[in-house]
Amino acid sequence: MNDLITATSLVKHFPVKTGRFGKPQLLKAVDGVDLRVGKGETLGVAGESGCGKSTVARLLMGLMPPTSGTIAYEGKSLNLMDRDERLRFRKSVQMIFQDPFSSLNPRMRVGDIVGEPFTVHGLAAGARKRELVLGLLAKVGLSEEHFYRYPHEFSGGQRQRIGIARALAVSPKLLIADEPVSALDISIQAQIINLLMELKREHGLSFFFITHDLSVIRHLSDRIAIMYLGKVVETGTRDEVLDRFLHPYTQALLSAVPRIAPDRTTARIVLQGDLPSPVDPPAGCPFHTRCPYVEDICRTDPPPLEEKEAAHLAACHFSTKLFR
Amino acid sequence: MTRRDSYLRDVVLRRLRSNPLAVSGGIVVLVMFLVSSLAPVITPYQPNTLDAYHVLLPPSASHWFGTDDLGRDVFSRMVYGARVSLKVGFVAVGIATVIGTIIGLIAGYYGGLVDSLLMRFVDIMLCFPTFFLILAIVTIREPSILNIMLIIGFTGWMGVSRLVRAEVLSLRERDFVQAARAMGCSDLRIIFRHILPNAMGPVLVYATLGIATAILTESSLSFLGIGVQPPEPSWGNILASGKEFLEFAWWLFLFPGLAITVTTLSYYLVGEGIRDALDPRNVR
Repeated sequence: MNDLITATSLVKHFPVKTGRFGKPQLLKAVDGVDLRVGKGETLGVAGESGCGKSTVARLLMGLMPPTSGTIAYEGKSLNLMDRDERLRFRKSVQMIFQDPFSSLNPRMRVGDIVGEPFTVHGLAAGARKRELVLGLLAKVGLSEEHFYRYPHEFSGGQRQRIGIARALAVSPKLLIADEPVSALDISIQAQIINLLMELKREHGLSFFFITHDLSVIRHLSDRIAIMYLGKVVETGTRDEVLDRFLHPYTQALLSAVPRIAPDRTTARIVLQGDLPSPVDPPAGCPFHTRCPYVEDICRTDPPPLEEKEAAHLAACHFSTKLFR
Repeated sequence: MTRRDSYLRDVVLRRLRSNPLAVSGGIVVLVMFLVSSLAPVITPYQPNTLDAYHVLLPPSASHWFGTDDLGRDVFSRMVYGARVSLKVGFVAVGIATVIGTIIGLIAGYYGGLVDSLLMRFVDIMLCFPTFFLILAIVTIREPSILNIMLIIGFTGWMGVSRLVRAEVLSLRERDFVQAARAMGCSDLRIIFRHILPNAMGPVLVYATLGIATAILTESSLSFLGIGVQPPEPSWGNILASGKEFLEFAWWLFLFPGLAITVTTLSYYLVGEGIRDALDPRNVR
């Protein structure tokens, strides 16, 4: 497939201080991640809180430099881009944030928020800009009367719509959505998801869609990556990963999805313990501390993320033995 | 499509008006402004005219606040003193706020070594007891209103810079600043469009309170005889001239003392009011 953005062996470590005189330690937020999003494709990324999903999103946006590894947009590495290319990259990739209450500048009017990209990129000004902004507001289901309002006058769902309008202003090719609906009410979630899917169809957008809600991901994604403790543990097409999973962590996540008509062929798998600290990740397989099928080799040898079946990668020593 | 008025006119002023304490403080501040700008019109006497026949008169219809030991009209002197206080307050705080805001923005936004260096410099500046620093400088330089304003300004910016830095540190991690970066905004645009407007609330409050402090400092310096030099009137030196006649000429220290207290308090109330009104979440 034609790749729009690729991340290769992406690593991001944050230094954290432990105690006043303690040696600075490294929080391994992202620890060797390979990902790609094709043109017009939606990659759904799932995993529990603290697994490094948001850090990957910020790295892909170029909002912070990776510790190592490369990100390439249309084949061009981000840190090799010159000024013009970087500005073009900024126009092509936009982000939708999780918290609609912190993603809009409280001192700016909605019209100015949505219109700012036009000013920054010198795309339009004056009456033309106003016209474009009103068009964007209409597209996300807001009306002309919202133009002069301040963000605090809106509900969470409406604010998320404003954020989406702002992201669309530069006609991006890729939208990075960092849990765009998890802060919203269930009824509003569906509206926003439908809006995003509509926009995707209409503009042929690619999505990098982060969520911890697997039912959302099933609805939206073409391909799925499951992350655990800074690593991708399983990735493949949507149906492969969700229906023919090859990793015990994916199995556990899926068993936690509530069903309207429970078939109960698979019992709920409740993981024991908490997510291990990314400052001091376990040796061997990162999941071995909580895995119900753990064996000796898991405690010593980290399993590589390898192609187990066609277009279906998993990082587990016993994939085939357990699930096939 | 009719709401084109700015955030300040639209929201802040309306909220400020519904706060009775801030309104009364604001009225006092406005009256002080009017009085000092209209000083030549409303004063019945020249502030420096001596009158050997009418020394130390208590308040009466012809001398509202009485006269001092040289027969000068205390009311007229206080009106001119208000001018000095306002000028010192605003100019000194203006200098301090501009310096402090710039240093705080740079330190907070760029972080790292720049931040460490600037904040250590702030620490060094804070080590000097400001009042004694001012005393020392005034003994070297001649004590004039201009010098007093400069000194208070250049020794008063550290609080502002710490405040601004702290605001910037939290603001720059907020999603709307990240969104601005993702959009391709330049550093300057992010600092002045997205960070500064959101950091201005506390700065405005701090500045308003700073005016009160500056007025107090000027009064103290003038009281000690190293601020505004007689015969030029200031609330501080009127107070000082009254201290020798404490037992019987109560009007010589009561009125300037009250003026200093009430003015300081008023700026304080206005500052608090602005703080509440500027908070967008604070819907009254």
